[in-house]
Amino acid sequence: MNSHQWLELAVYIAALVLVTKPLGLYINRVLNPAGRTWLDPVLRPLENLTYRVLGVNPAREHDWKQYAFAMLLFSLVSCLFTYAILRLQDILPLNPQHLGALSQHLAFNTAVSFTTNTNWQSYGGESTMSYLSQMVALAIQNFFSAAVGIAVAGALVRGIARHTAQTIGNFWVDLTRIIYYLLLPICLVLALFFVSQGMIQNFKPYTAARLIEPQTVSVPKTDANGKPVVDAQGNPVMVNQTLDTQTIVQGPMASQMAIKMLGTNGGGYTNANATHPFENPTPLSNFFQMLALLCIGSAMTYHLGRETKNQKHGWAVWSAMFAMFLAGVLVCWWAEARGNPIHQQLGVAAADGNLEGKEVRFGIFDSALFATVTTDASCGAVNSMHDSFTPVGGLVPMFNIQTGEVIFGGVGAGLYGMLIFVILAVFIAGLMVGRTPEYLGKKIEAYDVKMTLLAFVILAFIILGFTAWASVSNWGTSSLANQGPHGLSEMLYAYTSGAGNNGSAFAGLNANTPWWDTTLGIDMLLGRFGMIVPLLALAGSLARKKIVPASVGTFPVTGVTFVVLLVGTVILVGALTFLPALTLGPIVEHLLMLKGTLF
Amino acid sequence: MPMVRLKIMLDVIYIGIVIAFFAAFLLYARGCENL
Repeated sequence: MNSHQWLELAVYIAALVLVTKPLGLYINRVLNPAGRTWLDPVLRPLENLTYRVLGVNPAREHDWKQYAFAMLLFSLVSCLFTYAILRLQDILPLNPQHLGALSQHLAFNTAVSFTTNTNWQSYGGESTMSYLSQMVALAIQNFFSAAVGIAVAGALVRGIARHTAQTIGNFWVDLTRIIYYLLLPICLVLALFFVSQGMIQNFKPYTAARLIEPQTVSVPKTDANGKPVVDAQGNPVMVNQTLDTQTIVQGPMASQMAIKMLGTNGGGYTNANATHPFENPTPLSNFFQMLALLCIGSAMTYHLGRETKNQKHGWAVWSAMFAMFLAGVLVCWWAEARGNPIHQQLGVAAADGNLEGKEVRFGIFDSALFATVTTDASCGAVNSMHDSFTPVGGLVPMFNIQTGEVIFGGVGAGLYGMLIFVILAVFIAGLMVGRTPEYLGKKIEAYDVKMTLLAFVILAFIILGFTAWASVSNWGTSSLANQGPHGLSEMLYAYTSGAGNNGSAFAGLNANTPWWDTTLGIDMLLGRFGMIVPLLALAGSLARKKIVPASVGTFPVTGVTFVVLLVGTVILVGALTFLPALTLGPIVEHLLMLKGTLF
Repeated sequence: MPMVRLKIMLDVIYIGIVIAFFAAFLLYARGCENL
């Protein structure tokens, strides 16, 4: 934990603060159909043409049910489209490596994963996806799913800001404007910047490079059908194989990486994700990838304040997010810099902390910061392997996801997730003073609390339910690379990542089996839409309410007291829900590590 | 031929799962309205 790293953390925080207001103002204009932006001369005709082609009347707004129906219909169609591309990629163009079609369960998992903005990957991108699949199935879905998240957050904020209204916006207008005015322009600039840093963008076939020193490796022997040959004891028969060439990935990477980070999607072009030198070439590209991850989530809090005409409230929500962000970074960084005491006793890397699973170009600090940022956002990108973190270091990303990724969060999803906790905090404060809770002049009634709890409980139900099932079934445990508490952490992380629509992997788990692909796919669907539907119902309910004037019993939603209550609500609810499972996983693993046991 | 049938059957099953879940979410929305 040296001064350079502290300085980088300070610069990162300063950049995040600086981008929040201007981007928040811009998002506010984008989410207002009548809002003027400097891109209007170019994009307004295209926007109007899109409405004409789709048969959308932009002046007609939706009530919450119509909004939910349009969102679900769009997501269903885009999911089936992605599934079809992945299943047919072997006969579609732009496949110079002649990669085969994905299996049904992998295509299902991947289609759902990218539709829900999860981007969980049970595959290695460079050995599985054709260029067409990368661009048409995955990159486009990155734009769509990110736009859906921002649209839902925009609708919820409208519900909070409006009064005695029946509608919460037009889904098709929100979707179109977010893609055209927000995501595409920023991604264009970001992709060009990444190319300037050395990221590739081409359609060339993969390059075969001859190794200067051929390597001999031991690999499992396979029969004519490609299945591993085993000996009489059931162990795989190994044979030596000499490698004299290396296949170097090519393809349209920069265009996909821009939206991968900005849209908090995270699906890597390569299996190594942001550790790969093409996918994250320089320290500067690493910095801007991390900034791209949180900038929209941070700016959405400014939009909240602007739309509700209470900018202090927007900053209060931002402050709560920031406090938890900083705590997570510092704990994760401290744990990784402190390292593994067993390694230190053995004299392995005693001075370097825990470097296992880390890209040495980035080191411990940038790995800890990236891991915290990517799990604060609902992003699956990684520049180090979370499975190799110390137990406490690995607990931070897992806890970030389990609290609902509300620390700036995924694009849109972070804000609507945090607003659940805001309503809960206001409700708890109301109970404490014995008054009907109010939020920005709206009385929070039984229906609103029911919708809030439905949105939250679904996550706990599916994460803990699926993890419990996996941990007692051979389907689940047979995919584990580690036993004991670490194995439980791998399974818990997988379902947490899926339900939270994060997508980052703890590693150590072979998830490309029919059972894992299918259950994780269902986990992602329930985590995304099981949460969004009651939130839209909440938006509709809030929009219909009248504004009541503030009184002495009104709990202020600005200031330090509110921030502390909000942070306390997030941590307490998250801790009460997941602490027992975390105790059996990373916490007991940490205690056993101190006693000299590794898993 | 049986392999082709199996592949088609699996496609139908997974597409069916997707459609069934989205239909369930629509019903869920209706349920939320009446809660």
